[in-house]
Amino acid sequence: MQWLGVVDEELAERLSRSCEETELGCDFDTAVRNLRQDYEIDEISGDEARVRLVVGDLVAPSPAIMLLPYDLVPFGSQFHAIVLLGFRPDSSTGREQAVFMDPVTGTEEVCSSNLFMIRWNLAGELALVVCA
Amino acid sequence: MSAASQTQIDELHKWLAREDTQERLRACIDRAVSKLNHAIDDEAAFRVPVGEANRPILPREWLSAHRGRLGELIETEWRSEFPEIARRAAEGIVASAASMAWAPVEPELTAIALRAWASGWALRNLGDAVIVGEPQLANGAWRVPVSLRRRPEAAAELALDSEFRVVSDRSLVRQQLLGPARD
Repeated sequence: MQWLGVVDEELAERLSRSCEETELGCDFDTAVRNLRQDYEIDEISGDEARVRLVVGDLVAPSPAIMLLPYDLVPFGSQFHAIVLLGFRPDSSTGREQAVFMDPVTGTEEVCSSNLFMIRWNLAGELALVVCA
Repeated sequence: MSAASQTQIDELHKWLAREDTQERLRACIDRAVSKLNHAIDDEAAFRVPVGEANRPILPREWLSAHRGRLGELIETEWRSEFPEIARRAAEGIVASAASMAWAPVEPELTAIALRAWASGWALRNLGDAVIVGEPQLANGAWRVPVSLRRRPEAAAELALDSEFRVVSDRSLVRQQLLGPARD
């Protein structure tokens, strides 16, 4: 959310407290419930079609915060949140790619949309959008 | 089926039951699933059905749906992993072995689905710093180990019922994982 410009560092710390972050990290349900006190949150878990509609909206596209396993291999068991920015064709192959901001690298990353969705699937398909 | 081929089949059963064979078969399955997942143009790539509405389709329909697609890949991997057996044995025996190799695939595939579901539960109820381990089947019941990324010695288990729902108490699991840190 900091990367999206929705919150600054100070607010991020307050949100971390309000989302009851512990050594376990933040659990999705608590985070969504508490974020809804201050923001309009649209949960779009388990619905790839809606994710695509939201991030690909021609008028007002919204990035989606999604939970993925770290690894590209199918059975990665550690998770982190990323921000899905959209989909675009690879310039050389024409195959569709997912474009996302990864807080682990702090940069924009791309991978095949199929692999991206498989990773999302293996993490239970949890996603939310902070509505503007 | 001739007596000789029955003997071969019996020997094949014994060989398949060996621990080292099972381990190599699991590696074949992993590679086959990975290849399926990396088939970028395959729109029907490996996906675990997510959501309450989809839960009842496991294991039969989901496994059947994957048998055709994965079966061919697994057979290719099987022939590559055990080329001497594939070369020496009659074609019928190889087909039997490939077919029998499916038996350990079913629990492996089920475990993949359960791990995805358990991951969803863990992320909703525990936190995004948990590690979800490989589901274990013991005494007819599935359990999924969970631990902490920063402190792997903190461990707990998620219990699943016969319909693959996580039935563990959220508070208790959280307490089991966080407890040692609070001592």
